[in-house]
Order: sequence, then structure tokens, then C-alpha cells
Amino acid sequence: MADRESPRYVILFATAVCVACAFVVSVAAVLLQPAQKANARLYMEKNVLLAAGLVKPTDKVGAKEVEAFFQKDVKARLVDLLTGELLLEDKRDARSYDQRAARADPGASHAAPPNGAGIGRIPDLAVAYFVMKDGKVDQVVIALEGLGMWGTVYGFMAIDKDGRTIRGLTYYDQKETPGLGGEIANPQWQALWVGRHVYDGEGLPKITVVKGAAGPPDKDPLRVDGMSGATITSNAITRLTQFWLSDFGYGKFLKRYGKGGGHMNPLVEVAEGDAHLQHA
Amino acid sequence: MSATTIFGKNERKALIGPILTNNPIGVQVLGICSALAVTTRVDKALVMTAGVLLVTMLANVAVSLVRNHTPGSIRIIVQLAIIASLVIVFDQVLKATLYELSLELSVFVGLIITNCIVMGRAEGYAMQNPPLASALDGIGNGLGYGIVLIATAFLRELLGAGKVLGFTILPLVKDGGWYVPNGLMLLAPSGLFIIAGLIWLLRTVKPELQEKD
Repeated sequence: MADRESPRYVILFATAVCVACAFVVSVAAVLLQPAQKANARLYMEKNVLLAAGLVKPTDKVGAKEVEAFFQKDVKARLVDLLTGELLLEDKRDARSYDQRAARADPGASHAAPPNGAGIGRIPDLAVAYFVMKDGKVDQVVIALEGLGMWGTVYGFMAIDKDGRTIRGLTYYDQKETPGLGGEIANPQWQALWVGRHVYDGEGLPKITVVKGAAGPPDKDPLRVDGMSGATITSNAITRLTQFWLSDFGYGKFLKRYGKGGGHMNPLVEVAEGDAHLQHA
Repeated sequence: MSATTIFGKNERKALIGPILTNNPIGVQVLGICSALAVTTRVDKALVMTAGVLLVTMLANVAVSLVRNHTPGSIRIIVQLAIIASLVIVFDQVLKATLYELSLELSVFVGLIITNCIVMGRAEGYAMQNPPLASALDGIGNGLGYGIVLIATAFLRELLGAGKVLGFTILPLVKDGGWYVPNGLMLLAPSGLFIIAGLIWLLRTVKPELQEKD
């Protein structure tokens, strides 16, 4: 038997162990990836329902339940962020649209103006989920994303048919410090946003996460309680929320939506000037 | 040793010992950090137990299989590579099956790599013993860890949220019941109180466990 402590043997043995371990990990990663992707997508769509208050965080919601909501009360559509108009429904399926991939694709996105939210490119098209009630639009759920303290945070915000009152909020993909900035994923903190306004009287996105406590929503509608020990995350949330509510984000769309007061019909609403979207 | 003792005294001791008399948490005081972090609910504790049990068992078998070929100078790194690979695979399986639970367990699944129980059994047992005994030792230690974890989680979920595995046992006042939950039970310090109490109890009942110094 070869000398077990000789450098030659040690290097050979280490290489063999590494190759064997790498093989096992690679096989597992490749085989399990489809199931993981399906789970991540289901979790994302469940968070649309959570933001809209259609399900509660404690509910056990599986693929069947989510699908039932999307077949009935929730209509996924795409918004042209440059004009604020809805894309024709048959042009592109909103549920299979990958907004993160579009943002990274120079052909499907445009450069963002300088901003504090760490957003470099804006997708030309963004998802909007209309939540119907008795045949009319009740609220719309928009997607939020931006740089937190440790990485990009992704969330959804539900906005009432008046175009400015928050109905719900979730952050479903984030890497903030557990117990501090990670509290953005805590339903109790998210509930503090409900009833507050995203725009001030002049239509500017002024909703702000403040240090300390804010007043009740009816008296102090533009401020939300900050998280202790998480000033950086709190400020990041303010910046990314204001960015997506501005005219560079969903602003133009939300103004048209708010004017409709629930009469905007996601099923027949037609984007008029969609000539520049031909590449999409 | 005769050939008939495939499941002999050593093997039985490897399997049963760690569950009570040589419990990794209660007696060896290993794996405490994860025991404080993932015991707010029973389902979390169950998944964590499964993870530690499988990883300890498989790592023990793998380390034991190559123990006679492993150069002493790099044995710890070899053990670590095996353990880390197994933990990554377990994490991938969890993301593919119990996605939301995997999000809640977050870093603690990955931290099984540094769980002293896994490393300790690989170096302390599997390096000197054949694969079958090592596998049983891994299962025994995984169960010993799991029993403490699940018992702690049971107390914390019951007293902190009035539930066990998500089913209401003590109806809460805010839901129209009579039980006022103890919020402390959902915070990390209560995990320490319960586990420290358990270690104290174990050493009072079995005084021979007390270190003399």
C-alpha cells in the first residue's frame, strides 16, 4: 500500500474526494432545479394573493388554490411603463412573463435615471395583477424591487381602486439581516402599511419609512414605522417604493388606474400607442 | 469477535447510547445554537432533525468507508468536504419539496455543516469504526439531538402560540379562547431556559454525569 502521508498520495486523494463530492452536488442541483423553480414561482404568485389580502399568511395555500384565484378573481396583465398603458392581453402572457429576465435584457428594458434604489435598468413591461370583486376592479398589485442592505429585495404592493391607498404589502425574496432588516418579511410590519397613501395631494410619491413610530393611517398617511436597528434597510425600502410609484415606474399607469376608480377593465383595456412595443 | 455479531453490543451501544445516556445536547452539550434557533415550531424542529440525522448518518458512513485510505494530515478537510456536500444536497431537496419551510429555516440548514455533532461524530467515531456501526452511531446521535429539539419545540409552540404542528390545542384569547400566550416562548432566550433546564435535570437525576473539577 502506498505511503498514505506522501504528498503525491495526499494530492491524489484530495482530488478524488473533491471530484466525487462535486459530482454528487451537481447531480442533485440539476435534477432538483425544475421542482425548485416551480416552487419559487408558486410562492411568488401566492405572495400576490397575500398582498391583496385574498389569503392569510397562516393559510396553507397550494398550487391548486393559487391557480383557482388566478382563474377567477385575479387577472395578470402587463403594463407598458413608458406610457402607463396596458398591453393587449393576447400579445403576451403576463403570468409566464419573467420581469427579472426582461430587466437584464437590453432589448426589453431601458436605462433607469440616477436613483438611490440601486435600479440600473427598467423593464419596458411590468406585471400588474388586477383583483376583481363583483365583476369590477377592486385593487391592483404591482411588483417592487430594489437594493436592500445585502441584496435585491422583491415584493408586491396592492393599491386600491382609488389609485393611492395601500391595501397590502409583501416582501417575498430578500436577504436582509434576520431579526433586523429581515423584519420587512414580517406580516406584522407589512400590516402597518395598510390604509396609508402612496401619493401626496399633488400626486408625488411621498410614502416614507420613518425612524420611530408613525401615527395612525388616517392621521399620518404618508409615513410608516421604521424598523429598529435597520436604518439602511428602512431607507432602502423608502427609496425603492418611491421609485416604482414615480413616473419612471408604475406612476403613469397608477394615475390612469386611479382615474378609472374601478371602471378600468383589464379585460378590454387596449393600449393605444403600443407601436414602440413591436419588438416585445 | 465472532462473525455472528453483526448487530452486537458495540452496534447497540452506538445506536441507543446517544439517545439518553450520551445525548449530544444534554450530555455532550453540542449543537446548542441551532437548538435555540429552530425550536419555535414543531415542524421546523422535525425538518431540522431529519437533516441532522441524515447528514450525520451518511457522513459517518462515507467517512468510515474511506477511513483506512484517508491521509491523517487532511482528514478534517476530507470530513468537512463530505459533510458540506451532504448538507448542500439536503438543502436542495428541501427547496424542491418544502419550499416555504426552507425559507423559514434559512441559514440554519446550511449551518448543519458547522453543527458540532456531525463533525464530532465523524472525527470521534467514524474514523475508528466500520460503516455499519458508524451509520448506527449517526442515527443514534441524530435521534438524540432530535428528541431534545422536538421536545423543546413542543413546549415553545404550545406555550407560545397555543398550537402543536399548527393545530390549535390551547385556544387563544384573541381568537375567543381562554389561553394568554407566553410571548417569551417564541423568542430565543426561552430556548436556552428549556434546554439549560433539561441539562440541569439530566445531571441531577444522573449525578455521575457531573464533571469533577
